[in-house]
Amino acid sequence: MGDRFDSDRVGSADCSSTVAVLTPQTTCPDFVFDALTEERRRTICRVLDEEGARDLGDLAMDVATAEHTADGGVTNHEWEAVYTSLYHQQVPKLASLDVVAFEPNSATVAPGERFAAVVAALDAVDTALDGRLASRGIDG
Amino acid sequence: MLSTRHWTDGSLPGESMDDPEAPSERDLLVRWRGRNWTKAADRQFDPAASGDLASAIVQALADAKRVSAGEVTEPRLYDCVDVEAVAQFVSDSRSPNSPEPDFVRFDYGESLVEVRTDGRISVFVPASDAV
Repeated sequence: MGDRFDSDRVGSADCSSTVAVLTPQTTCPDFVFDALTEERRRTICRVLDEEGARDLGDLAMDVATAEHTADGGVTNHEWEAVYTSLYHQQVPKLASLDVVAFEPNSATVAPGERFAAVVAALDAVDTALDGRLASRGIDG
Repeated sequence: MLSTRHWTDGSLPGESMDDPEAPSERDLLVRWRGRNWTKAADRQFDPAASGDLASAIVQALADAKRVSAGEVTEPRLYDCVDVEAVAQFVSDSRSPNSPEPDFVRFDYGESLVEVRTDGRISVFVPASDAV
């Protein structure tokens, strides 16, 4: 879609700055954004980056804990809901993008072929936002 | 989480309300893809209270099979429907002025799942199997 948008604007001098802003995004493949759309998938990538391959049950506890930092403990019901979400939706989604690999027999989630690219993008976003917040703080 | 049944939600303006069983009957039986289906379970999805739609749908499927959510393993919901698209549909399509909520339906194994824009998740089984 980005390509079509760019070509629509070709020849329009007014929009040259818009095209210049958009061009860097076309170098970042769609699967990165697809993988990171939901906060729960970002948490999964963070955990796997720190812990390596993880049992799905343990991973669900890690994610549930990350989501309940404000109110403390994770109930069994909350863990089960996160586990279900990971098993039926988030892990298959990441696996379909080759970001993680899921081994059903051992119920293990491991970093996949495209895992490094996604974590690099996560880090880059964090760095960019930290920098912007910092400079805003100085300006203000 | 809301669990109250709202059988009369689907009533059309001016429709007789004398028979309280009528909306219920219509809601429990649906015809879809040339087959009759019977409702086996339903639950109310509230994004604020019960988190994500995927686990709510799986819980409804578990209710229909009288098992726990952890025992619903095949197929994976991801292989049956784009849950993110359905969640978007539910959150975007809330229409308080519409007499009836819109819905999406999809197959899960031998079951039929219906998700309405008012958050009602229903699981149907083929009527012939539900005798």
